[in-house]
Amino acid sequence: MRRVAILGAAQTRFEACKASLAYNELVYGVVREVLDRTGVPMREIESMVTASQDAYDGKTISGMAINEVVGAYLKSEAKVAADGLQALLYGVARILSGEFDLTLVVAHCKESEGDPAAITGLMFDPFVQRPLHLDELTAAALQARRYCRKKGLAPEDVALVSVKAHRQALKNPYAQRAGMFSVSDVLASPLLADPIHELEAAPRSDGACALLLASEARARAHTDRPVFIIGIGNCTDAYWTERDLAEARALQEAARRAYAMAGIREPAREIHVAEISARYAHEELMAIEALGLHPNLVELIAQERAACINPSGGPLCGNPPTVSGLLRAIEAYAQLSGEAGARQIEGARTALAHGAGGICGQNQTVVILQRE
Amino acid sequence: MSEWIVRQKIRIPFQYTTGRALTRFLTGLAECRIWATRCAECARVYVPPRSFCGRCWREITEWRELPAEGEVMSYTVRPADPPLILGLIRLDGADTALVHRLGEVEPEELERVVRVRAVWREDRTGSILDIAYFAPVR
Ligand SMILES: [Zn+2]
Repeated sequence: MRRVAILGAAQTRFEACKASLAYNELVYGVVREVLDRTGVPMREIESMVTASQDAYDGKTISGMAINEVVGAYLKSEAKVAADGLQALLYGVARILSGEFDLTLVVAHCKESEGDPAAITGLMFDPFVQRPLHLDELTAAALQARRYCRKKGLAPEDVALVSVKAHRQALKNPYAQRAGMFSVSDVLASPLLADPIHELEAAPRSDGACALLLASEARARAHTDRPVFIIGIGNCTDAYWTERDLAEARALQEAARRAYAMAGIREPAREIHVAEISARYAHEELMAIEALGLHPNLVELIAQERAACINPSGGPLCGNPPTVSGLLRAIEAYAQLSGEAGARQIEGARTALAHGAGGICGQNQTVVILQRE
Repeated sequence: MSEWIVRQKIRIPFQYTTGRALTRFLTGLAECRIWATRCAECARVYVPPRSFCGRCWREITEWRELPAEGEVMSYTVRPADPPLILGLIRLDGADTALVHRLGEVEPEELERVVRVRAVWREDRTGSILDIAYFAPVR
């Protein structure tokens, strides 16, 4: 069986508005960095998968607007209009097919350019939901309350996720928002949509990231200590108003598939570091539970081991939709290759990256990475 | 560093086809009636109605009318003047949720609100907004 490794990765610094760079310039920057780091020349990369959203780019077939900077000229390129971790999934499949030895995976988004409420509002049913002016934030707030009620969580429990995220982000030079906030600071930040406070929601963000996938043979020629992708699971749930929002069935199923492929039986013990795509604080708690990373989430968040969950700070510290999921894999790879700098978790050998898309996480992807 | 921005607005006039299930639902609202569909295999009751059950992957043909009353599963308050209150409402007999505004209630009373009932508009046009809002059943 062919195996797929990660050769190298890069990300921009995330900022609320990168006004001096167009999105193709952001993408060129991260692709250039991946090639410089790995020493792989562009002419050797035969295939690319990109992730972007037409609505955020303000033009359709947005993948074609970056084809020149991802080096896709007269090569095989495909775009996913979904979370970036799905682009990784397709990139892995391309290599497993035997057709390609190298595949570049790229995601970008400049949330500053369009109106996020109007753009996320387009996800909703136009007949019975859009007349009520719904957006991603409103749906997330409805989910947050439903979940907290069902689990008996207090606002302080959810705020702890934000406290931890922003504290960890102090060690992440790419983070947009970081700080030593207290639970009361979080709960005193403006209510965006009750019960979600400003510090409990991912801030509007601009940035891009890229990662280079390789076949095992190609990776071995390149490094003595490759990081392999050993498990992938993806799963889609029912529309958000047709399922219990307090449950994360699709994520449980995606995790089950990824763990089975990776041979992981006890995730709480075997996963050393996890990067979770929580755009809202409560989503991190839901994910920890669904991924089986700890039996008692609040206890986990409160204790030291919480540093192993989103050591980068995660999306709460700023990274845009579409980029979030791929960036989780890039952060997981940084941990396993020992390149995570001040946010390094010592001795991490197996890592998990999580990506989500759709309203209230309708689509879920889990990727397991392992250092040899 | 140069910063230069071009401002535009994307406007696309659109006419959405409602299809079989939603046509009956929306025209029903004009008559103050709420129509749902029921999957013959899993017995799940969909409102707004679906023509297909995704869980069973089969067509749904059975219709039933639901009362305009149900339970608040969740709510949120968006800052505005006055605050915009939205609820996730499960009508009695339904297995899915309807999103709508909550009215005749102050944000601080919401925690105590369990059951709500549709308040209909006078001038109905076959739209989800034919329900002005859901009000607490006191
Ligand atoms: Zn069914």
